Amino acid sequence: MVQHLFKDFLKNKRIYAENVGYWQSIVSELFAPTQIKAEAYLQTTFANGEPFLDGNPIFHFVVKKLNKAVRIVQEVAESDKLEITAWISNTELDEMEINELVIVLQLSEESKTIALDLIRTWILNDETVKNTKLKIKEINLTEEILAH
Amino acid sequence: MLHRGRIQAQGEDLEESESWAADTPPTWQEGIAMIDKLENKIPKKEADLRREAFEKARSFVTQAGENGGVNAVVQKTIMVKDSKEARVDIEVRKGKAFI
Repeated sequence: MVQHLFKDFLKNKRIYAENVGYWQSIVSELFAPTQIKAEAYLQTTFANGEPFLDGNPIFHFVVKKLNKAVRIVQEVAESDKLEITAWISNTELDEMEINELVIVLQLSEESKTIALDLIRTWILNDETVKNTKLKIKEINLTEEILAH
Repeated sequence: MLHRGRIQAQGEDLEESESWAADTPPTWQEGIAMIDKLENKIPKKEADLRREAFEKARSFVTQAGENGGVNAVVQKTIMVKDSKEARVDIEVRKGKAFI
């Protein structure tokens, strides 16, 4: 059984804002000892300024120097099991192709740890697409083992 | 083209999309029509699997229409429940969409 965090993030705007702040804080902490410059790259509001507030994405950043991005989609916690999946895809930013690590999770202490580990691999260690995909495979195996 | 993007159905054995590239942004009704077209062009089994995800995609596009559309860059991933790979993606890469 996992320990969920910000379980009611979609029901309450204050909790949602705290949830976003939490992601900013833990990722900033991860990058603190480095010179990595991460910046937001996606719109999370409609054209009239109304925010999506749907966790899709809950947090995102691009590191232009590495040509890499991270997008985290947070879903409502419905399961007591570890719920996380990830992949790498190509996307486009300012007419340039970038590699994007997408992480979809139900936020828990356990899924957060795995997400940070993936971000460390992808950004801090600047691992290749191939090596990061191997890491993702390991995570999916871990999840299967925990589920049984 | 000033406005570009796509709606994609992805999965283990599937990668189909409906895209746009035009000098005027697609309306939200055109967005819904693209989702309908995509849902109809993939195998029924794959469409059935993604029924809820397509509905959520329609809901987002409709909501966008009610709020003046969206400006690029927007990336939405709507996962199929209990699946690791099956999903519907909405990507607004350039310009505006769903006005």
